[in-house]
Amino acid sequence: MKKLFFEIVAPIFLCVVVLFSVVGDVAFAGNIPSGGSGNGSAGGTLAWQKQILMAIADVAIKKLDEAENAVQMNTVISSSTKRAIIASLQRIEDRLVTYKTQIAQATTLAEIQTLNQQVGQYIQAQKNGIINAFKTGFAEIGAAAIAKAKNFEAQLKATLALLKVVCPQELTTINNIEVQLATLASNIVALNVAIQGQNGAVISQKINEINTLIQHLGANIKTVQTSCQINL
Amino acid sequence: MPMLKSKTGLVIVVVVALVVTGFVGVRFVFKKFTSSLRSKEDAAAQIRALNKTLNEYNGYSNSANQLNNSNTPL
Repeated sequence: MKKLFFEIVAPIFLCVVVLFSVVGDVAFAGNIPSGGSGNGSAGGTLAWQKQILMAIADVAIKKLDEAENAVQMNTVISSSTKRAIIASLQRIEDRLVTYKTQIAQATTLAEIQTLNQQVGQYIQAQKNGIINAFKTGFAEIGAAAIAKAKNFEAQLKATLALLKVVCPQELTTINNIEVQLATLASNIVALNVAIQGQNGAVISQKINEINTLIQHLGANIKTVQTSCQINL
Repeated sequence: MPMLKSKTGLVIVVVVALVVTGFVGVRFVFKKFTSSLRSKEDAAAQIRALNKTLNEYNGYSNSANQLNNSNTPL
Protein backbone atom coordinates (compact mmCIF):
# COMPACT_ATOMS: atom_id res chain seq x y z
CA MET A 1 0.00 0.00 0.00
CA LYS A 2 2.90 2.32 0.67
CA LYS A 3 3.60 1.83 -3.00
CA LEU A 4 0.65 4.06 -3.86
CA PHE A 5 2.13 7.11 -2.31
CA PHE A 6 5.59 6.49 -3.28
CA GLU A 7 4.52 5.80 -6.79
CA ILE A 8 2.31 8.84 -7.05
CA VAL A 9 4.65 11.15 -5.26
CA ALA A 10 7.98 9.66 -6.09
CA PRO A 11 7.96 10.26 -9.83
CA ILE A 12 6.94 13.89 -9.41
CA PHE A 13 9.25 14.68 -6.58
CA LEU A 14 12.10 12.53 -7.69
CA CYS A 15 11.95 14.39 -10.97
CA VAL A 16 11.86 17.64 -9.08
CA VAL A 17 14.75 16.60 -6.90
CA VAL A 18 16.72 15.34 -9.88
CA LEU A 19 15.83 18.47 -11.74
CA PHE A 20 17.09 20.67 -8.97
CA SER A 21 20.14 18.52 -8.40
CA VAL A 22 21.07 18.60 -12.04
CA VAL A 23 20.35 22.22 -12.73
CA GLY A 24 20.49 23.33 -9.12
CA ASP A 25 23.94 24.81 -9.48
CA VAL A 26 22.58 27.04 -12.16
CA ALA A 27 19.12 27.55 -10.82
CA PHE A 28 19.71 28.17 -7.17
CA ALA A 29 23.36 28.50 -6.28
CA GLY A 30 24.16 30.53 -9.30
CA ASN A 31 21.15 32.35 -10.47
CA ILE A 32 18.89 33.19 -7.58
CA PRO A 33 19.90 36.46 -6.19
CA SER A 34 19.73 36.89 -2.43
CA GLY A 35 16.54 38.87 -2.93
CA GLY A 36 15.00 35.70 -4.35
CA SER A 37 13.64 37.18 -7.56
CA GLY A 38 15.25 34.39 -9.55
CA ASN A 39 14.82 36.11 -12.88
CA GLY A 40 17.36 37.43 -15.34
CA SER A 41 19.61 34.68 -16.74
CA ALA A 42 17.49 32.11 -14.92
CA GLY A 43 14.47 33.14 -16.97
CA GLY A 44 15.01 30.35 -19.46
CA THR A 45 15.58 27.82 -16.68
CA LEU A 46 12.43 28.99 -14.90
CA ALA A 47 10.29 28.57 -18.01
CA TRP A 48 11.85 25.19 -18.71
CA GLN A 49 11.31 23.96 -15.15
CA LYS A 50 7.71 25.19 -15.17
CA GLN A 51 7.11 23.32 -18.39
CA ILE A 52 8.62 20.10 -17.03
CA LEU A 53 6.71 20.28 -13.75
CA MET A 54 3.43 20.98 -15.54
CA ALA A 55 4.01 17.97 -17.82
CA ILE A 56 4.76 15.76 -14.81
CA ALA A 57 1.63 16.99 -13.04
CA ASP A 58 -0.40 16.31 -16.20
CA VAL A 59 0.83 12.71 -16.33
CA ALA A 60 0.02 12.26 -12.64
CA ILE A 61 -3.48 13.73 -13.11
CA LYS A 62 -4.12 11.46 -16.11
CA LYS A 63 -3.03 8.39 -14.14
CA LEU A 64 -5.16 9.39 -11.17
CA ASP A 65 -8.15 9.78 -13.50
CA GLU A 66 -7.54 6.32 -14.93
CA ALA A 67 -7.28 4.88 -11.42
CA GLU A 68 -10.54 6.55 -10.38
CA ASN A 69 -12.31 5.14 -13.44
CA ALA A 70 -10.93 1.66 -12.77
CA VAL A 71 -12.14 1.79 -9.16
CA GLN A 72 -15.54 3.11 -10.29
CA MET A 73 -15.94 0.19 -12.71
CA ASN A 74 -14.90 -2.42 -10.15
CA THR A 75 -17.82 -4.79 -9.72
CA VAL A 76 -16.89 -6.21 -6.33
CA ILE A 77 -16.05 -3.23 -4.11
CA SER A 78 -18.96 -1.69 -2.22
CA SER A 79 -20.24 1.76 -3.18
CA SER A 80 -19.11 3.33 0.08
CA THR A 81 -15.57 2.00 -0.32
CA LYS A 82 -15.49 3.13 -3.94
CA ARG A 83 -16.53 6.61 -2.82
CA ALA A 84 -13.80 6.68 -0.18
CA ILE A 85 -11.08 5.56 -2.59
CA ILE A 86 -12.17 7.88 -5.38
CA ALA A 87 -12.52 10.83 -3.01
CA SER A 88 -9.02 10.24 -1.67
CA LEU A 89 -7.58 10.13 -5.19
CA GLN A 90 -9.66 13.12 -6.29
CA ARG A 91 -8.28 15.22 -3.43
CA ILE A 92 -4.75 14.60 -4.71
CA GLU A 93 -5.87 15.33 -8.25
CA ASP A 94 -7.52 18.59 -7.22
CA ARG A 95 -4.39 19.58 -5.36
CA LEU A 96 -2.28 18.87 -8.44
CA VAL A 97 -4.58 21.02 -10.57
CA THR A 98 -4.12 23.87 -8.11
CA TYR A 99 -0.40 23.16 -8.10
CA LYS A 100 -0.34 23.50 -11.88
CA THR A 101 -2.05 26.91 -11.72
CA GLN A 102 0.36 28.04 -9.03
CA ILE A 103 3.34 26.82 -11.05
CA ALA A 104 2.04 28.66 -14.11
CA GLN A 105 1.81 31.84 -12.07
CA ALA A 106 5.18 31.44 -10.34
CA THR A 107 7.74 34.04 -11.20
CA THR A 108 10.79 32.73 -9.37
CA LEU A 109 12.56 29.42 -8.88
CA ALA A 110 12.29 29.89 -5.13
CA GLU A 111 8.53 30.12 -5.50
CA ILE A 112 8.48 26.86 -7.43
CA GLN A 113 10.55 25.20 -4.74
CA THR A 114 8.07 26.31 -2.10
CA LEU A 115 5.14 25.07 -4.17
CA ASN A 116 6.83 21.68 -4.55
CA GLN A 117 7.30 21.45 -0.81
CA GLN A 118 3.69 22.39 -0.19
CA VAL A 119 2.23 19.86 -2.61
CA GLY A 120 4.58 17.19 -1.22
CA GLN A 121 3.43 17.94 2.31
CA TYR A 122 -0.21 17.84 1.24
CA ILE A 123 0.17 14.45 -0.39
CA GLN A 124 2.02 13.13 2.67
CA ALA A 125 -0.83 14.34 4.86
CA GLN A 126 -3.35 12.43 2.72
CA LYS A 127 -1.27 9.26 2.76
CA ASN A 128 -3.02 7.30 5.52
CA GLY A 129 -6.49 8.09 4.22
CA ILE A 130 -5.67 6.67 0.81
CA ILE A 131 -3.91 3.62 2.24
CA ASN A 132 -6.87 2.80 4.47
CA ALA A 133 -9.40 3.27 1.67
CA PHE A 134 -7.47 0.86 -0.54
CA LYS A 135 -7.07 -1.63 2.33
CA THR A 136 -10.84 -1.74 2.75
CA GLY A 137 -11.26 -2.32 -0.99
CA PHE A 138 -8.81 -5.22 -0.99
CA ALA A 139 -10.44 -6.73 2.11
CA GLU A 140 -13.86 -6.62 0.44
CA ILE A 141 -12.62 -8.33 -2.72
CA GLY A 142 -10.71 -10.87 -0.61
CA ALA A 143 -13.80 -11.74 1.45
CA ALA A 144 -15.91 -12.16 -1.69
CA ALA A 145 -13.19 -14.32 -3.25
CA ILE A 146 -13.01 -16.55 -0.15
CA ALA A 147 -16.78 -17.11 -0.22
CA LYS A 148 -16.67 -17.99 -3.92
CA ALA A 149 -13.64 -20.28 -3.52
CA LYS A 150 -15.39 -22.16 -0.69
CA ASN A 151 -18.44 -22.49 -2.89
CA PHE A 152 -16.25 -23.91 -5.65
CA GLU A 153 -14.62 -26.30 -3.19
CA ALA A 154 -17.99 -27.68 -2.05
CA GLN A 155 -19.27 -28.04 -5.61
CA LEU A 156 -16.09 -29.79 -6.66
CA LYS A 157 -16.36 -32.31 -3.81
CA ALA A 158 -19.93 -33.16 -4.85
CA THR A 159 -18.87 -33.42 -8.50
CA LEU A 160 -16.00 -35.75 -7.68
CA ALA A 161 -18.31 -38.05 -5.71
CA LEU A 162 -20.53 -38.36 -8.78
CA LEU A 163 -17.66 -38.74 -11.20
CA LYS A 164 -16.24 -41.65 -9.20
CA VAL A 165 -19.45 -43.53 -9.97
CA VAL A 166 -20.02 -42.33 -13.51
CA CYS A 167 -16.44 -42.33 -14.65
CA PRO A 168 -14.40 -44.97 -12.77
CA GLN A 169 -11.93 -45.24 -15.68
CA GLU A 170 -10.68 -41.73 -14.80
CA LEU A 171 -10.06 -42.53 -11.16
CA THR A 172 -6.41 -41.47 -11.33
CA THR A 173 -7.32 -38.00 -12.58
CA ILE A 174 -10.12 -37.79 -10.03
CA ASN A 175 -7.66 -38.68 -7.26
CA ASN A 176 -5.25 -36.01 -8.52
CA ILE A 177 -8.06 -33.47 -8.38
CA GLU A 178 -8.71 -34.50 -4.78
CA VAL A 179 -5.07 -33.80 -3.92
CA GLN A 180 -5.37 -30.35 -5.55
CA LEU A 181 -8.49 -29.76 -3.48
CA ALA A 182 -6.35 -29.96 -0.36
CA THR A 183 -4.07 -27.27 -1.83
CA LEU A 184 -7.13 -25.13 -2.53
CA ALA A 185 -8.20 -25.43 1.09
CA SER A 186 -4.78 -24.30 2.35
CA ASN A 187 -4.74 -21.40 -0.13
CA ILE A 188 -8.12 -20.25 1.15
CA VAL A 189 -6.67 -20.22 4.68
CA ALA A 190 -3.66 -18.22 3.41
CA LEU A 191 -5.97 -15.69 1.73
CA ASN A 192 -7.86 -15.30 4.97
CA VAL A 193 -4.59 -14.62 6.80
CA ALA A 194 -3.66 -12.02 4.15
CA ILE A 195 -7.02 -10.28 4.66
CA GLN A 196 -6.42 -10.17 8.43
CA GLY A 197 -2.98 -8.71 7.71
CA GLN A 198 -4.61 -6.00 5.54
CA ASN A 199 -1.88 -6.30 2.95
CA GLY A 200 -3.35 -5.40 -0.43
CA ALA A 201 -0.50 -6.80 -2.51
CA VAL A 202 -0.54 -10.15 -0.67
CA ILE A 203 -4.36 -10.35 -0.85
CA SER A 204 -4.19 -9.75 -4.58
CA GLN A 205 -1.41 -12.32 -4.98
CA LYS A 206 -3.31 -15.00 -3.01
CA ILE A 207 -6.51 -14.35 -4.98
CA ASN A 208 -4.54 -14.85 -8.20
CA GLU A 209 -2.89 -18.02 -6.91
CA ILE A 210 -6.30 -19.49 -6.06
CA ASN A 211 -7.56 -18.42 -9.49
CA THR A 212 -4.71 -20.27 -11.20
CA LEU A 213 -5.45 -23.39 -9.14
CA ILE A 214 -9.19 -23.19 -9.81
CA GLN A 215 -8.60 -22.83 -13.55
CA HIS A 216 -6.29 -25.86 -13.39
CA LEU A 217 -8.93 -27.87 -11.52
CA GLY A 218 -11.49 -26.82 -14.11
CA ALA A 219 -9.21 -28.09 -16.87
CA ASN A 220 -8.82 -31.45 -15.10
CA ILE A 221 -12.57 -31.77 -14.70
CA LYS A 222 -12.89 -31.05 -18.41
CA THR A 223 -10.51 -33.96 -19.11
CA VAL A 224 -12.68 -36.33 -17.07
CA GLN A 225 -15.84 -34.97 -18.64
CA THR A 226 -14.53 -35.45 -22.18
CA SER A 227 -13.14 -38.89 -21.44
CA CYS A 228 -16.44 -40.11 -20.03
CA GLN A 229 -18.53 -38.42 -22.70
CA ILE A 230 -20.51 -36.29 -20.29
CA ASN A 231 -22.34 -33.79 -22.44
CA LEU A 232 -22.89 -30.39 -20.89
CA MET B 1 -54.62 -87.29 -19.62
CA PRO B 2 -53.12 -86.46 -16.26
CA MET B 3 -49.68 -86.81 -17.89
CA LEU B 4 -50.70 -84.29 -20.57
CA LYS B 5 -52.07 -81.98 -17.94
CA SER B 6 -48.85 -82.07 -15.97
CA LYS B 7 -46.81 -81.46 -19.14
CA THR B 8 -48.95 -78.48 -20.10
CA GLY B 9 -48.69 -77.21 -16.57
CA LEU B 10 -44.93 -77.56 -16.66
CA VAL B 11 -44.71 -75.72 -19.96
CA ILE B 12 -46.87 -72.94 -18.57
CA VAL B 13 -44.74 -72.73 -15.47
CA VAL B 14 -41.55 -72.62 -17.55
CA VAL B 15 -42.99 -70.03 -19.91
CA VAL B 16 -44.21 -67.89 -17.05
CA ALA B 17 -40.85 -68.29 -15.34
CA LEU B 18 -39.07 -67.26 -18.53
CA VAL B 19 -41.34 -64.28 -19.05
CA VAL B 20 -40.91 -63.14 -15.47
CA THR B 21 -37.16 -63.66 -15.60
CA GLY B 22 -36.97 -61.85 -18.92
CA PHE B 23 -39.08 -59.02 -17.62
CA VAL B 24 -37.04 -58.70 -14.46
CA GLY B 25 -33.83 -58.89 -16.47
CA VAL B 26 -34.93 -56.29 -18.97
CA ARG B 27 -36.17 -54.09 -16.16
CA PHE B 28 -32.85 -54.47 -14.36
CA VAL B 29 -30.84 -53.57 -17.45
CA PHE B 30 -33.18 -50.68 -18.22
CA LYS B 31 -32.90 -49.41 -14.65
CA LYS B 32 -29.13 -49.66 -14.80
CA PHE B 33 -29.10 -47.80 -18.09
CA THR B 34 -31.44 -45.01 -16.96
CA SER B 35 -29.61 -44.74 -13.66
CA SER B 36 -26.33 -44.37 -15.53
CA LEU B 37 -27.91 -41.75 -17.77
CA ARG B 38 -29.31 -39.94 -14.75
CA SER B 39 -25.87 -39.98 -13.05
CA LYS B 40 -24.30 -38.54 -16.18
CA GLU B 41 -26.95 -35.86 -16.29
CA ASP B 42 -26.34 -35.10 -12.62
CA ALA B 43 -22.61 -34.96 -13.26
CA ALA B 44 -23.17 -32.65 -16.22
CA ALA B 45 -25.33 -30.36 -14.09
CA GLN B 46 -22.66 -30.33 -11.38
CA ILE B 47 -19.92 -29.53 -13.90
CA ARG B 48 -21.99 -26.70 -15.38
CA ALA B 49 -22.45 -25.20 -11.91
CA LEU B 50 -18.75 -25.67 -11.24
CA ASN B 51 -17.79 -23.83 -14.44
CA LYS B 52 -20.12 -20.98 -13.54
CA THR B 53 -18.48 -20.60 -10.13
CA LEU B 54 -15.05 -20.83 -11.76
CA ASN B 55 -15.88 -17.92 -14.08
CA GLU B 56 -17.29 -15.89 -11.21
CA TYR B 57 -14.10 -16.43 -9.22
CA ASN B 58 -12.11 -15.27 -12.22
CA GLY B 59 -14.09 -12.01 -12.00
CA TYR B 60 -12.87 -11.51 -8.41
CA SER B 61 -9.33 -12.11 -9.53
CA ASN B 62 -9.73 -9.44 -12.21
CA SER B 63 -11.20 -7.06 -9.65
CA ALA B 64 -8.22 -7.55 -7.36
CA ASN B 65 -5.80 -6.94 -10.22
CA GLN B 66 -7.74 -3.87 -11.27
CA LEU B 67 -7.55 -2.44 -7.76
CA ASN B 68 -3.88 -3.33 -7.55
CA ASN B 69 -3.25 -1.38 -10.75
CA SER B 70 -5.28 1.56 -9.44
CA ASN B 71 -3.19 1.39 -6.32
CA THR B 72 -0.13 2.16 -8.40
CA PRO B 73 -1.40 4.81 -10.81
CA LEU B 74 1.99 5.96 -11.87
